[in-house]
Amino acid sequence: MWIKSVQVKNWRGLAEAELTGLSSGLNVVAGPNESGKSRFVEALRFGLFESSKGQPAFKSRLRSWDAPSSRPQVIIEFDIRGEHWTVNKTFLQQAFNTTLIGPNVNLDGEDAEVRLRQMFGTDLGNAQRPAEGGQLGRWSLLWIDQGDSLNAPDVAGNAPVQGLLQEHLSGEVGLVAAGRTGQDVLRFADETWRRYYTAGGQESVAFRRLRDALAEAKGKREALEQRQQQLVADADRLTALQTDYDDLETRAGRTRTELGAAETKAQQLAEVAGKLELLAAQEQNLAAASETATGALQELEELQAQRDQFEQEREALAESTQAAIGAVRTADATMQELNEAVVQAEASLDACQTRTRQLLQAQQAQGAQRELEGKQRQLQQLTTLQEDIRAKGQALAALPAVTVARLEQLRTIENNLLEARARLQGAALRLSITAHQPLTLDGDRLDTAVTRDYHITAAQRIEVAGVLTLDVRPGGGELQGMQDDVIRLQREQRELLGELRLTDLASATSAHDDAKALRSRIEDLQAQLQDRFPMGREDLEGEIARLEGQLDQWRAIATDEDVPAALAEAEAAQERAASAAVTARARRDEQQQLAASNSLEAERLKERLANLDQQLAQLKQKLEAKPDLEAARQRLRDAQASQQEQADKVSKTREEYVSLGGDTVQADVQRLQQAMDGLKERLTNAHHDIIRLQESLRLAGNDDLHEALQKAEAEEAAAEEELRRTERAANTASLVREWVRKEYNEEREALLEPLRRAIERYLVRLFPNTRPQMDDFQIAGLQTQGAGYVELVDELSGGAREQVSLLTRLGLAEILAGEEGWPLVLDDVLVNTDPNRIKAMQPVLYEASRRHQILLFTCHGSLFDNVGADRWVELAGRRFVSS
Amino acid sequence: MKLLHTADWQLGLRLNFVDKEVASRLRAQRYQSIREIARLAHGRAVDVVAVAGDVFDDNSVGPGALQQAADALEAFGEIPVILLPGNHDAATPDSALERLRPLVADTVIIPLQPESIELAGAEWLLCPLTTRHHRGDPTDWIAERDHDRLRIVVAHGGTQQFAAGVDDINFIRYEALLRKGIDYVALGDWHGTLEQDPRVWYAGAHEATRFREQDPGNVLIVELSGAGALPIVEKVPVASVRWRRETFEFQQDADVDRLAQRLDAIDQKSSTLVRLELGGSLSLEGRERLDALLEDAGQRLAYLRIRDAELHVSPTEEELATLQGEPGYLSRVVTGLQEIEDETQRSDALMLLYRYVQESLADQGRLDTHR
Repeated sequence: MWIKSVQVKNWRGLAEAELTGLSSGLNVVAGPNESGKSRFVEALRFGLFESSKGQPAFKSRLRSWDAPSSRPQVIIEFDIRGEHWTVNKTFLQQAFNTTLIGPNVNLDGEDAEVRLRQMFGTDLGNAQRPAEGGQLGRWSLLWIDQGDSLNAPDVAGNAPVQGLLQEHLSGEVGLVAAGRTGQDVLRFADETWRRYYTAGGQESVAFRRLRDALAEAKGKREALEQRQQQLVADADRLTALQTDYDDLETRAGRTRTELGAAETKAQQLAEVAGKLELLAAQEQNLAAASETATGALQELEELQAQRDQFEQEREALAESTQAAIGAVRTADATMQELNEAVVQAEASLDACQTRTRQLLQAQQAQGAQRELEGKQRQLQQLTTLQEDIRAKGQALAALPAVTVARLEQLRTIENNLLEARARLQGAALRLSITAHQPLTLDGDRLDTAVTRDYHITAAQRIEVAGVLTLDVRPGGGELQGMQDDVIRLQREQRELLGELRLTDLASATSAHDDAKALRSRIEDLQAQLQDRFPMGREDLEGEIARLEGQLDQWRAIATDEDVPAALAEAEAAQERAASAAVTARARRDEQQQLAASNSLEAERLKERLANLDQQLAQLKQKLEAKPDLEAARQRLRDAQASQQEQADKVSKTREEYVSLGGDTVQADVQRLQQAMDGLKERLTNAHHDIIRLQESLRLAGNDDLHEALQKAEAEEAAAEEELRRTERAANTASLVREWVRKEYNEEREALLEPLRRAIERYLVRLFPNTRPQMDDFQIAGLQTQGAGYVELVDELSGGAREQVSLLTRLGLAEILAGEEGWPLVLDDVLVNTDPNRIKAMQPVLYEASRRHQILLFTCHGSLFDNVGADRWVELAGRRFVSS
Repeated sequence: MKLLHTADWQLGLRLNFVDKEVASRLRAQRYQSIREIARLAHGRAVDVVAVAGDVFDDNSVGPGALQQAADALEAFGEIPVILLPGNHDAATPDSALERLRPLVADTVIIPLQPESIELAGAEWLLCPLTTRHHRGDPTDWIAERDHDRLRIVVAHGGTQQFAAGVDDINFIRYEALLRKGIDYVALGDWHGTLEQDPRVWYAGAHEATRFREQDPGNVLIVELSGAGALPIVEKVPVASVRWRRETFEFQQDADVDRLAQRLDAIDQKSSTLVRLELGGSLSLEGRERLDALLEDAGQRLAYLRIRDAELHVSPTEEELATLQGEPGYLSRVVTGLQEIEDETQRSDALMLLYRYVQESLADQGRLDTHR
């Protein structure tokens, strides 16, 4: 097919424009944005694929901006299989507005549309949306709209294209990858496989659940088996325990017998031990008797020795006593003499002391007389002072009682009065009436040139008889109040002065000052009194009375001699007498002590003698009660003989005890009893174990364990069988799928080989040394030759992806072309590709355009200068926009 | 003297490979067959019934099993029944038979220790197993004959020595035993009826427990005319559950019909267990039909066990043509699958592919019968 020209009218701002003389090879339509390129592409698309009928939204957009009522129209001329055709469509009408004119064909309306679709292999899309995908058939691969250049051609989702490709490829290689049955088998194999496995090849949930179920059943069965084994073990253990118990019982019997024998022997031994104990006690008694006899003998001998000693002592003591009594008598005589000397000395001292006392009293009386005279002078002065004070007090009392407050009150009243009088004075008025002719004024006659003065201090009417009446009101009527104030204040002043018995304020002030002076003087005198006579009058008078009393007493001892000299002499004599008395007393006391000591010694000796006599008498009495010495010695010998005899008996019995086994027998009994206790305990424990196990087994008997175990075994067997069957089915499904997939892929690869080669031919121009890896009809990756490494298309950069996409489309277009080449429409492709790569792309595009028509629309015309365009259309900016 | 010798009732046993409903039916059948044995005992007027061990399947059977056993034993009425503890129900402290004791009449004799008793004018030497695995001969204790009455031994254990010099477990030296002057030895443990000696017999299980048992399902009526005389032993089948082992070889697809006839000929299907061993070769279509047949039979029989490892699938030319008829990869898949070495895998894989193709053809309306 070869698109020869496109003409548009009223097309989205293009009033009328056309592309003519398009080549069957490479056409470049270059122009900046908004120059109308895309509107041509759009018009081509609508003209070729969209029905002219109806006005859905996507068609309404076509309306021309400046002539909204006009209908967008497109006319396309094309050759197909050598025949020339013209299609003319006008859009945005209710009915079809299409004409198709070809060799001997002139169709319009729906017939024209149907015929077009047949020629292009397209389908009527949803009338509400532009045709796309499968509806466009091969065109969806041959046509790249602006912005679509990065996307790989979608073959998988385009069944018609797949069919076409398959048809073309089969025709080329003579192969069919899969017919309908093959496709179904492929699908069934996948579906069956997916029943058992996840997409990732893992076992499916249902599959795994079977394994889990088996594991669970197995666990359950094992647990029950374990429990059953435990019961069996318990039963075996019970049997063993019972055997052990019997054995233990036999052994306990043996021990019990041995213990009995030991106990009998111990009984006999106990009897001998009792006898031995009795004999030993008796032996002890005899030993005690022997000891008593020994004691008695010893005591007797000791008593006799003591008596002898006492008698010697008494003799010596009697002598000493006699001597002591003699000494006491001598001391008593000396004492008598010394006592007399003391009496004399003391009498002499008394006389001296009396004389001294008298002289001292005379001295005191003279002092008291002087003190009395002084006190009497003081009393005189005191009396004078007190009288002065009293006189001043009386003068003060005679003054009126003008206090500071009263004085202040009087001053205030005085001031107020003066103020009131002044006000009254100010308000009063002096009126002088001078008669110019004789008048009768207020009833009085006033002669000519006589003046009569009025001092008007209150409202007053003045009558001039027959002439006038004059009303005078001084002070504007307030005069009466002012007069009242003066009168009131005068009264107050009078009352207060009267109360104080005064005449005026000056006398009050004077009285107040006099009182103040008097008070000050009285205070001074009182201070003096206090200072000089702090003891007060009464005490002073008391003191005088006391001194007078004392002097009365001492009047008797009054003397005329020189008291101080006589006193000194008397005191010296007294001192000598005192010294003599002290010496005499010391000598007497010393002798007295000696005498007392002698007397005490004599008494003590006498007492000791009496004691000794008493002891001696007692001792002798004791000795008289005792047997004589020989009898005591015989008694001791008898007791010792009996003791020896008993000791022999004890010794013999002890030998008998030892010969019977002695203490070891008791130890044996203890040991065997302990052993017996141990055995009994073990028997009890074993018995308890037996009871416990019997009980446990008895209870287990009700558990229906056998049934449960068999059930668990059955469940496990069923789960195992189910799993085995599933595994077999899964393995089979897996195996079949593997084969199906493998063979299908191989077949497919062979089928796709021409496509791969077609794509590769273009691809190597931009990606040298690479080989496309096909995934169905698409390039999945680029494999660098000689290296195993495959770079996935999805992971390539935007530019590379764009180039691969375009190259793939060139390859696909080649396969799809078959005998008839189909135009490739490229609207601003390679926008993500750098200029160098575009340069490399140029020969590819050129080469492709030798096989089929290419319409390349670009806004970067300069990049395609060297592409070798057969036709170059330069669109100027806005050139086609009508003004 | 006439005695009924039976053994290995294994009451409480449940077959773990059959499904629930059938399993409980078969288990109940074991009790029902005891009532049949009682009817036989009454009919033949036997003096004593001796069950030579393994009355119960295990000592851990529950109270339900014990009660069902007691109920079934009532059918023997006045006839003395000896229930001997075997290895499955040994007279250990957890003995099921000991627990059964209070539930049954005094005519039921349960020896828990080896003992000699007088019964019906004969000396009965009862040899219970007192442990599960009795090391040595459980009849060792029996003394030489010292009277001229009948001497009958009831014991449980094996009579084949498997390793020389080793004291076998529960092993009965029957020749030595017979030399002590025994008229009949009633044995249990072996599940098939077996004559070890004219005086030494295994009665076998009254109902089989496995496919591989030989001649199970019988009891023995034993007549003893006097001390020293040989016993007259009669084998009487009593089993109500049938166990069958079948083998079938396929030569051609038509053989599937033959097998169908054979399976159909089995009477009492619901109480018959079948083990079917298949061999030979079938076409894909034949195998398809066989599977349908077996599925149907499996539902009718109490149990059907299939062993088909030796059964191969060989597609016919026609089938191959169908599988490979379409251009494309499928024919190569068929070739590949046919080369799988493992027979079972190959058959399974071919069958699966065959089914896929059948389904596709049915969808396309190219097949008359949709599977």
